[in-house]
Amino acid sequence: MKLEAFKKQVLPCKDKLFRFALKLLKSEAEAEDVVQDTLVKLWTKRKELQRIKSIEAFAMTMTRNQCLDILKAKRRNTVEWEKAGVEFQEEQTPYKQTHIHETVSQVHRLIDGLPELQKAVIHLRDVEGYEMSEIAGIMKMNNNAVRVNLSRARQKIKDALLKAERYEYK
Amino acid sequence: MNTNDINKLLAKYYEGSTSSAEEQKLKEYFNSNELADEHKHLKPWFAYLKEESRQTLHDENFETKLWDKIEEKENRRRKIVPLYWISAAAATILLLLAIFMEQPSWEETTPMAKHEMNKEQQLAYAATKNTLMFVSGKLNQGLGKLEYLDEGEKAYEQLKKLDNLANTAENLQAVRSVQAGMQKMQPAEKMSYMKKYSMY
Repeated sequence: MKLEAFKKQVLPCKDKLFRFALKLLKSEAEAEDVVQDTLVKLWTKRKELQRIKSIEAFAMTMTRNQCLDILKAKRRNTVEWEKAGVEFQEEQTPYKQTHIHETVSQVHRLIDGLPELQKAVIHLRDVEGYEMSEIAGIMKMNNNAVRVNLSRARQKIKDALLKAERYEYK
Repeated sequence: MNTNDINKLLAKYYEGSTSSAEEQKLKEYFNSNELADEHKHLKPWFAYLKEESRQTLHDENFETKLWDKIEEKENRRRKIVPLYWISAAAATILLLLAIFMEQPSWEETTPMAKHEMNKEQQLAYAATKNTLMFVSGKLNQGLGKLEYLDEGEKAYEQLKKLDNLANTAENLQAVRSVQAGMQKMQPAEKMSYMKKYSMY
């Protein structure tokens, strides 16, 4: 793959990769680093890219792997902190702090509170519009596991939003 | 689309079994202004999805940084290649050495040579042993004398304390010179008093 082709076929994925990494890592700086690393790796593998069916899905998988590694390392640190007796504040449940004007930011908090797999799957499906089989490929899960995670995530969102609505009208 | 259709689609949606086309319909409905009251709680969700899909990586220097990183990586790679050759050469030399050094043992295995070698080896062994004993003996003697160095260090520590004393003495001198200065200042102070009084 030549430079021009790389610029045309690979670089445009950067926003999708960024959104995905940002969803998982919750930090713009970290997400940008992950995207950079992914693209550098893709460039070094550019000769193999011609054989790959979907470069974008391949790049998403690489991003997923890097994010999960980072999260794993962070979790290890968290466990160590906890051992050292450092207490973490419990995340506030969204409907406790709901306000009619900040409903979208409330959804952000809801999504952030989801388990990683559910968060990744619902993002890939509802924000990026990937097909279920594509998501299975990116996440290295089977189709049914994708559907189950997606369903759980959507239901949680719905339940929380319904509760928030009831809370407001009381 | 009527409310009933939407409810059917939503049920499928929560099961995770809507097709992309069906989800598109839901997105259009929820981003429109004709929402049934029973669906209003979902509006923020679809607003979030729309907002989220528009987010971009807004770093002007993104590409520059990327190409810098790529260049750095390629340069590092180029530098690694000669290292391959160096290690290959080193390995070859080691291998040749190993083969070369193995060879005497082949001669040893012939019975005649073994006997002769044994005599020679014994002599060599004795000579080597003597030399090594001599060297180690001398070394121990030498080490014994090194103990005196320790004494020297102790003395040095004590001298350091003296040094501290000298420092304090210097500081004291500084105090004294300040005192002297103050004494000299006194006449000047008197002068200023006199000036003050002469004003009246």
